[in-house]
Amino acid sequence: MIGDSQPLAQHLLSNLAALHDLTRESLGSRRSPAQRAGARQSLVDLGQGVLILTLIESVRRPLEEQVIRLVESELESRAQEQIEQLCQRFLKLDQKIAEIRLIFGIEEDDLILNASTLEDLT
Amino acid sequence: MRMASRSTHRWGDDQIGRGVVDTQDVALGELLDRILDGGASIASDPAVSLTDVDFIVLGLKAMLALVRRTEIGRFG
Amino acid sequence: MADVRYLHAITNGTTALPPDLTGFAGAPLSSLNWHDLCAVTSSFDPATLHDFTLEDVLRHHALIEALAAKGPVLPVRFATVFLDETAVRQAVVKHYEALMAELARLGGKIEMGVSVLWNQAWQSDSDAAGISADSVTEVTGPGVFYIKARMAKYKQEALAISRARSVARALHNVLRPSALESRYAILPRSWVLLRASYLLERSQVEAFNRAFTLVRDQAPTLRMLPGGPWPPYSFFTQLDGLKLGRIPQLTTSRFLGSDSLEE
Repeated sequence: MIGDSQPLAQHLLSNLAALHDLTRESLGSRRSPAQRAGARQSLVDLGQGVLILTLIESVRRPLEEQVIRLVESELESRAQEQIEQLCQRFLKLDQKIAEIRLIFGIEEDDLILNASTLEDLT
Repeated sequence: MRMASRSTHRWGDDQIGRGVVDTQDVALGELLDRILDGGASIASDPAVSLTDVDFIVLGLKAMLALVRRTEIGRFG
Repeated sequence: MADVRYLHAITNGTTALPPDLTGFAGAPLSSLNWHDLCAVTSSFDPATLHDFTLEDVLRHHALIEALAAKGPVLPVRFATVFLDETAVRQAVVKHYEALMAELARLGGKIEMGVSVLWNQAWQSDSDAAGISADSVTEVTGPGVFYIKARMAKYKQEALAISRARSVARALHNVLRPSALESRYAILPRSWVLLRASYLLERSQVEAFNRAFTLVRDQAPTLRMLPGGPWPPYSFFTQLDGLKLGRIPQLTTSRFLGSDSLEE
């Protein structure tokens, strides 16, 4: 089970920059209408920053919940070191996310998927 | 070391408790969120509108669906 | 790009535009009619797309309120900008049926809000949930320590969500009968436990306010912030079947200038 989580966590972590590029690419490498009209790059970046962080948050949460279950399952001490290494990857990811949020001035509340809305309670 | 999360996440009090967000700001924020989250969104064709984010969000949703199916599903 | 238009609102075409109302930078309003709908637009400098301020958002809001005083109005999402008038017409034509339906449902109606703020008194419950999850009994590395902190956070969040849901049910029971529709947002901001919105006819406002006073007196430990009457921003069904929400770069914290991460 540890082996399962590692590759994806590693992928997330070491490919954060690639993820950013991938997002840009999928959004269209041509300049957007807003950019063509003169919207400042920094604002477009902020919008993409929010979207990228939203994507990352929605992926890391279920992964962290998996790892939490792992930690809680109190495996034998031989596995502890592996678990610690895995957890440190998520710690580093968290630090990276904190950097990005700081640079863009994005709060957790600003992420798109954050507000869960209930429709009319019947 | 900066962390995006803390060991005990304290809801709210770091804002209101410190007086950083006072009641007037809160009231303004409640209106602001409604204005920015709401209203009719009809500019969904990037060829004609300058707000290019609609298809960005569509792209994001597609990516999320893809990630969820291929990766999360593996772990149950 | 002199032709760029900012779309403010949709009306039913019979509402006369107040002569003194303008768009941004004093741009005069113009009506673009298509059958029974009218798109209220003004010319707009796209170079200012990156410069939206709090005042601009409030201006957008004030214009909609001024129009609503004259007749049924459908607010359009903030910063909806088109290349030219033809593009505006295209969008109106494309969404004509849906816009007509929305105008019939929401035109002339108002929104009242009740925001229940996070209460300091709940902090001890929250901390307890966190501590029980956060126990570090043996020597752990920074990785496991971090993961346990995340665990604590998720548990506290689950507790807060469940509290928000029960408050929503309580508000719903007292306030919903005085309204046409309701919507609830759970933990929309870290200082807001629950954001409740109610759709009303103007004639229902008095009865609603009485019901609000009742529910506020019934729950003295809850800090409730009332709001409205406002245009019905929160009650749109999404056209195209997609919940698109706000434009990502228009983060509220940017407008309110909140502190970035502190530690």
